[in-house]
Amino acid sequence: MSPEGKTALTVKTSGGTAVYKNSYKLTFKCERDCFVWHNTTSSCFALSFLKSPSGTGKSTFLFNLYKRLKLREEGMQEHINSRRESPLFNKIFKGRPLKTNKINFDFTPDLQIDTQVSIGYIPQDPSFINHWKLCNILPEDDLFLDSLFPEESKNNLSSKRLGQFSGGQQIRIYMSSALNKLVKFGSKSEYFFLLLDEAFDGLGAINAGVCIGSIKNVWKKEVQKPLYLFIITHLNNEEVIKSIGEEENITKIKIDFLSENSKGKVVNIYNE
Amino acid sequence: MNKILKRVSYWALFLLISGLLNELFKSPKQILAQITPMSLFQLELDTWKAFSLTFSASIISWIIGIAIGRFFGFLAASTSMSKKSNYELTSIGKVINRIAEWIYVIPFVLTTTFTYALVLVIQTKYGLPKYVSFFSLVAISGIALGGFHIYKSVVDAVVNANQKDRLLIESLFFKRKKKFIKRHSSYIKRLHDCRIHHYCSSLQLAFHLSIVAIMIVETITPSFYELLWPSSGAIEDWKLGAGRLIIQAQNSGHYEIIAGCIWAVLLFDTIFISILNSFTHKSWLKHY
Repeated sequence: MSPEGKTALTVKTSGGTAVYKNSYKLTFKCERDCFVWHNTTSSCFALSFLKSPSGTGKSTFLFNLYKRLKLREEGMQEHINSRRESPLFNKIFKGRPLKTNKINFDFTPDLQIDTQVSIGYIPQDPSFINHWKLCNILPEDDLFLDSLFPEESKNNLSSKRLGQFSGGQQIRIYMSSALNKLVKFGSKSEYFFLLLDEAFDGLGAINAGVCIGSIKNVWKKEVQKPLYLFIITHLNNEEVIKSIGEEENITKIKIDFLSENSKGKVVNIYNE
Repeated sequence: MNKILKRVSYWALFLLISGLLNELFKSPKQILAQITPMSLFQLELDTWKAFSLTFSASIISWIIGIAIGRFFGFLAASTSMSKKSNYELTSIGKVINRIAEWIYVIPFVLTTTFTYALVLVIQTKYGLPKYVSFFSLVAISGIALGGFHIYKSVVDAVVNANQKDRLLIESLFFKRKKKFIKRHSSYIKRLHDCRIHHYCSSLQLAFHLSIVAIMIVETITPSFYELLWPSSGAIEDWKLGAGRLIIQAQNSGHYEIIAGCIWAVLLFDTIFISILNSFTHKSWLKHY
């Protein structure tokens, strides 16, 4: 791949392909300078752990994936493709691929242009808007909160404010809210993505596994459409997976820091 | 509550010290004794009546400033969120922003005199009642200084929003409003919530500035309150407002009256800000 371009983060893949068993594969195409996403299963739930030391670009990778998916959600793909095909565009950019992000992703052919997707993202260390009431960020017929908060009754929760919960609980509330948004406003969507940047790290491996397991069960029961959960974490993957109780459709991605030059970091993204 | 107690104790301390100073100097004509908070007790009933008008007008101008500042803040913020290809919409936001900055930058005296002159012409031409001029001046007092800070706090919360906050708000569930404008303003309101501390400070600053603005208007506009209550013959002094009484005191060399007015303004400001703080604390800040 060419590490050229104004990027803060350039990527390499080991052997050119990162294969994610069962659920999908993410292939890096050097000639197009982008990741190509392929769906390889009809499973309802797929989980990816992205784990590597600090400073290797995990959050950047996830953020770029979010931006790319967000463009699709907003129906910009067609616009991008038309620009890519335009002779004037090609003349100006001399055949270079269109870089909408620092790292480029291509979801065709498995996610067609007219395929609708919904995307949610919980950033690392998000702001906690403590004065918000839970009933403002959760629907009345909430699907996920009960499973994420088995210890409290739903009636007690909805009247409370966000500031009345601990940091870990607030993250779970945000997750529940994001999942509800995917379900409620994504009725026409065929694929759902939820990207979590170190959202579970405060919970510990076992609790994180229990939470993910709860999300998986509710999703499979209530929605029955594919949900792809990308998680950046520093937790022990094995322990988390053990707590989920199922290894199917779980992948582990690793980013290795190789070198740094004036153009940015050169990293290696591969399947663990 | 602690803050209110603290403020009350400050004032008690001020009065105690000034009482002691009065006792120390014995003669009430000593300059030092006359500029202490004890000078509040030397203010005549008419001065207090004048202050009641000034403070009422300040509160009205503050409320108008908040309403207009928020409205234009939301408008400018929503245009800044529109797609870059929509030049008409983004340029509306830029124009609003530029005008708001001009109004703030131009000396307030000029803004007021210009508004008054313009409203007088319109009033004469279309036969509008006089209170239109009064409320126009009160409104411009609220908008030009305090309203700008409210406007800025709304726009900044959206335009300079933290990327993490944007991502979070985009991803969370909020009850979807049917109308496009309501949906848009709901998104802005959520981003605005992320900077609620800044907004609370802006509310305070807007109030301080609304008193300043109203006193300037009283000073430079002849018979300001007569626009509201037209009367025949000579107008009573207190109906000129505190700003005008201060000018009269200055011309006659009564510095102790001016000192009393300063303490009266500070006292009122303290009381109102305490009420405002307890409201903002109860509504938002106590949860942090």
